Amino acid sequence: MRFLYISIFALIVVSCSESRMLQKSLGNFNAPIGYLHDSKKIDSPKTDSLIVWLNTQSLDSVTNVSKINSKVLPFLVFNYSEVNLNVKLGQSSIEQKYDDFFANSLIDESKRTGSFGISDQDSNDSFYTLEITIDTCSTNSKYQRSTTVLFLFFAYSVSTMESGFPAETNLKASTKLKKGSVLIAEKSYAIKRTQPFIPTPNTSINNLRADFTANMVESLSLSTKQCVEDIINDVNRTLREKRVSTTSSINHNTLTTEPDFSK
Amino acid sequence: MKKKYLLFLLVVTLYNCISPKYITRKQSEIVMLDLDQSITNYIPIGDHELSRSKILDSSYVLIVGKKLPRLDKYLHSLEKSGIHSSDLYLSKTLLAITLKDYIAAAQSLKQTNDSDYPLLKQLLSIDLNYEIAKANGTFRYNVFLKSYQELVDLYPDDDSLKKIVAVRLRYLRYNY
Repeated sequence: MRFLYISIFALIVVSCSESRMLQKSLGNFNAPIGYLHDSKKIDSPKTDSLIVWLNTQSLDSVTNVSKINSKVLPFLVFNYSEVNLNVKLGQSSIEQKYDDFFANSLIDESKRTGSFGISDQDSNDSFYTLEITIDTCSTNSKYQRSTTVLFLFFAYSVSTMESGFPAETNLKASTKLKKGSVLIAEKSYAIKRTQPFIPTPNTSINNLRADFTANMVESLSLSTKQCVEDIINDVNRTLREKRVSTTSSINHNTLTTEPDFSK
Repeated sequence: MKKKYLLFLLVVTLYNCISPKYITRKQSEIVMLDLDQSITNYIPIGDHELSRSKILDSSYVLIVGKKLPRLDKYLHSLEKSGIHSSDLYLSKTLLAITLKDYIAAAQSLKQTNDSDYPLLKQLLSIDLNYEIAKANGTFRYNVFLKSYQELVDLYPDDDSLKKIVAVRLRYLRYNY
C-alpha cells in the first residue's frame, strides 16, 4: 500500500514537472507575427473617415502549459509513459505586441480595401467611430511527450519522443459602428482556425519547440487576418448602405420640394 | 519452364507499362527545380519562357537531371564565346542557387537586365537576400514580409505569385 502511495506521489510530481519544464523551455522561443495582405488594392477615394477604438487585452501575458492527461503502461520488460499537455499561447511567445499588430493590420487593410480612412483619435473631422472589442483570443495546441523504457538482461534502453499538434485559434470580436453617439451597426465575429503543423523529420527538441511556437503564432496571425478582412468588408458595406440611403433621402426630399410648374 | 518464362515476360511487360520511360515537363506555371527543403524550390519560370530561350531551356533540363558540372561547363563555354545575355546570367543564377552558393547567385542575378525577367529578378532577389541574411544571422521576418508584400502589390493580378509568396513566407516563419 505504501509503495502505491509513493508511486502515485512520484507520478504526480513527474507530471507536474513536465508541464513546468515545457513552460520554462517554451519561454525561450518567440515567433514573429504577420501575414501577407493578398486583397486587391482599391483605388477609389476614401469618402468617409472613422476613429477606431480598440479594446483588447484578451491575450494572456505568458504562454501557459497545463496537463491534459497522462498514460502509463508498466510491464516487466517494457514501460511506456505518455503525457499530453495543453499549451495556451501568450504574449511572451510573440515577437511584437499583439494589440499593436491587430491595430496595424486593421489600418493596413483599410488602406487597401476600405472605403474609408482612419483618423487619429484626437481629430474632430470624423463622423464615425468604430469600437472593436476582442472578447476571446485563445490559441491552444497539444504537445505530447512519450517515453519508452526497455529492460534487457544487462542493459536498458530509454527513448523519449516529443511531438506537436496543429494549433487551434478561437478569436471572437465584436464591433460597434457609431455615427456621433448613434449606433448604426453592431456585429460579432467568431473565427475558428486550425493551422496544420508540419513536423520536420529528424529535428532537435529545440527546433521542434521553436516550430511549435511558430505554428501557434501563425494560426493567430491568419485568424487575425480573416477577422480584420471581415470587419473591413462589413464597415464598407454599412457605410455604402448609409451613403445610398442618404442619397436616396436627399433625392426624395428634392423631389418632394420641387416646385410645381404646372400651376 | 515455359510457364515461368511466360510469367517473367508478363512481369517485364507490366513493369514497362507502369514505369515512366521519360520525364515529361510539368505543364504548369511553376517549375520545380529541386526537391529539397529549399526556399527556392519553386521558381516561376513557365513553359513560355523556356520555349523562348534555348539557354534557359537547356539549363533547366540539366538542373532537373542533376547534371550540374555539365551545365557549368556549358555556361562557361557560352560566356567564352561572347554571349552575355540575361538568359545566360539567369541560368548562372539558377545553377548557383542549386549549388547553394547564394552570393554568387546574387551577383549573377544583378547582371540580368531588369526588363527581361522583371518579376523573376525581383522575386529571386528577395529570396537570395533572405538566404544571405539567414547565413549572416541578420534575418528579420517583418523586413522580408514587407519586401514580398511590395512585390505582390506590384503584380496584383498574378495569383500564382501570391501562392508562391505565401509558400515562401510560411517557409520563412519556420526557418530562420
